[in-house]
Amino acid sequence: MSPSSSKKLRFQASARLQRLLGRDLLPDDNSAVEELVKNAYDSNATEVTITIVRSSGNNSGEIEVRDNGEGLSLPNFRRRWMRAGYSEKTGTPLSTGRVQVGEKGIGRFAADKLGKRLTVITKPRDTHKALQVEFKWSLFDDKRKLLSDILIGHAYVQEPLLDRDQSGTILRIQDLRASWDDKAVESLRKRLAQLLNPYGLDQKFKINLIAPRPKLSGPIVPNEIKGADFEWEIERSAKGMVTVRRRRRSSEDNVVKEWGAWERQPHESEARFSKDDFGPVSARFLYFAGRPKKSQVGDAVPGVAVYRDGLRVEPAGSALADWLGLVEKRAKRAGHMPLVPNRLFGFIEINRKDNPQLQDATNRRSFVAGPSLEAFSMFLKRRLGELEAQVELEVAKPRWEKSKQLKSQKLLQARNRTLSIMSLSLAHELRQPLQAIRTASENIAGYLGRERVKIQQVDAAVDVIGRNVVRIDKHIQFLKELGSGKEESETVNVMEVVSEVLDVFRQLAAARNTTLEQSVSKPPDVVFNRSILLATITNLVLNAIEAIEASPDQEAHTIRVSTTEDTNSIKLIVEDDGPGIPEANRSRLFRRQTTTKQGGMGVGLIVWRDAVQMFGGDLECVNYSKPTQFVVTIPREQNNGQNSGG
Amino acid sequence: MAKILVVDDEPDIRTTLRDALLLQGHEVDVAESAQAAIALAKQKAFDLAVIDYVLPGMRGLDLLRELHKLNGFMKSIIISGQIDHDALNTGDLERQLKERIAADRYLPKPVSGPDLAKAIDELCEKGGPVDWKKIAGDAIATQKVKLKDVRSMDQTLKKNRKKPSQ
Repeated sequence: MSPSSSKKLRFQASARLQRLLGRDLLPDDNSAVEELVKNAYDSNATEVTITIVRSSGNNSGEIEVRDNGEGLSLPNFRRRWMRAGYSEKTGTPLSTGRVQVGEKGIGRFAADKLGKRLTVITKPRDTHKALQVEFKWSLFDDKRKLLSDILIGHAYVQEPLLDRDQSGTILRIQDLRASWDDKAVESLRKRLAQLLNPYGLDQKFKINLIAPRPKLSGPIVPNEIKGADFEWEIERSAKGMVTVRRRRRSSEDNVVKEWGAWERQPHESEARFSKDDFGPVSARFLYFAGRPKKSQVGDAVPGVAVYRDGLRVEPAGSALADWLGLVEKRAKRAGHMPLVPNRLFGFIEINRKDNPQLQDATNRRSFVAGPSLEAFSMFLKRRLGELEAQVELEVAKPRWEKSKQLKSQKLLQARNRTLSIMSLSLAHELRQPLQAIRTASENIAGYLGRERVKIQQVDAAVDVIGRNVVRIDKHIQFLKELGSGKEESETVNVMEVVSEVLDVFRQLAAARNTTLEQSVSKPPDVVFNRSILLATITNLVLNAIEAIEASPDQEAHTIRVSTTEDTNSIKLIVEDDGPGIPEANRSRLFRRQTTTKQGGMGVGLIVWRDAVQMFGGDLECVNYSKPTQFVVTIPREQNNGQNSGG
Repeated sequence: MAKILVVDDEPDIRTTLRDALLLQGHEVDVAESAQAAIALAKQKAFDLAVIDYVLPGMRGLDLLRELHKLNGFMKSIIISGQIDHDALNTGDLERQLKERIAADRYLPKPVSGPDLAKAIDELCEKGGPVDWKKIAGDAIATQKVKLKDVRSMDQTLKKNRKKPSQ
């Protein structure tokens, strides 16, 4: 039983479809120009010239896109231009060997994005006159009409730019929607440069830009990348055989940075993906060990770009697109990824003929998702993984090692500086128990010299000696620990460390009319590097005493050490009511290169912050004055002292 | 035998010094702070005070000035673990000379019993006005103050003498 035709349904396209596919679908003006350039490429042109005339006075501005492609006769124009969604661009190579890139048949509507009126002048070779068709896009705004209701007039004209033996198409877009200032033109220029693969094989397509400003006019030249440190050339054959050639410049320490010889990786067959997933690929990765200079990369946008038949394909188009997940990967690893995304420039060349599965999505911002795209991006991710391994081995690891060494060197210096300052303070501090011991021992001699020895007096004096020997021993222990530089973590009673430090400072502080206070709280034990904690608190207290000493007032001051705790950490607060940290010094408190002046306020703090951070803690200044507050954060969970990344 | 006041905030030093002076046959009172010392001096005329240079809340020398207001005849010995160091700097010394609050003797910690006994004997026997030149000399010698600092101090001293009203 077949239903009668009158009962069948059919789609009808509203006139507004034109707007949806043109003006609304395209994200920006540059994309619209790009579409028109792609159309020119598809018409087998070898050259396309874009001329921008800004609006002024009665002139509403004009963009002309002229190519020397094959041009269209009226029947062809009817079929190929006037039928929305129709495309003969099937991937069959043209006579030039080129494969057409636009396959959606909607690029023509891109003109609407740029201006309200479009005149198309097109002429195949060996015809006298050119076909001229005018579009007024406002006609399509009528909601009630269908796309096929809009009637477009045409005429034959003599076009001086298209002689009898010439073919081509000229698009004249008028009543421009944008003002096209220099900034916009410059941005377009950069965008067009990105359309071309500087390392591509098909260099037979030229783009010219004629702009109001001569400086911005001229042929578009894709950016070549100069001075990269790593270069990889990857070929994947139609059969899935992968060949990698790689070379790198001599190491950074070498003054003459020359390319080393090409090194060939053994052939490898991609077993996981069948050759049917995607066709041959040739790729080039250029990677900079350091931040690339403008002189090396020009306007090139870092990232991995895909070019199909010599012309760039979006997804891989915009700089922000993280289609290979590099940025995300780096973010997840908290900066410890060897491969820095914005130092990588990748150029992937594929062709339509051998990769028919990799198609643009209609919004032209990505490939159509599917196993083919998945296999393709997996292939690239694997290659990037290999590049990353090389970069890690040759750049990142030596660098991490170097920075680790530098840090431990700095730590040693800071430790020695602290030790030398503390030895002075300790000298005074040690004289206190020595005084007690000396007098007590002399007293014992005195007591024993008497006729009737009072044993309690002797005992009391012996107690004094014992107590003070312990005190001296503690100070010696302090010095030993401060200088030990032990790298292991151990169970630490935080308040015990605090009182060890404060004991050393009593005399020094009292001489500056300063009282040292320690809170009575008893936070739970933590696993931390005791020596580093001791040295950090020592430096904070020392800084506080120095700040108080530098203050002009003669008033009594207090340095207070207390703790707070939460589920993850114990926070040790060292605060003083001294003059505070001068405004000028605040920003450089934790700067890597602080003053070389010995002993100034805050000197060495960065080293102690690094040291504390190495064990998962932190050191920060939370209040600059009244009171000046520094907080040492000590993690509560077990930490083996191994920094995750270096 | 002398009436001696010992001021030190360290209990072990305070008590051992007290016992040492008792053994030497002196009458001894102890104070742990400047405030306690002043309170005691208000009740009793001491011949001599042994004061720790570093006291919480008030410097030993400032305490000495307060004690002198109560008893101008009292002799004084400052003991300190800091004497060879920064706390007794030239500016401090100059201030002391200017304000005439210098102690009669400065003894570095750890002071020995015989040294302390000798100083006490000399001071309590000798009596009389303070020998400023000797004090300054002593202080300078102990401190290893540079010669140019001494000269500038000397000039300051002379200037002050010329204008006694200031």
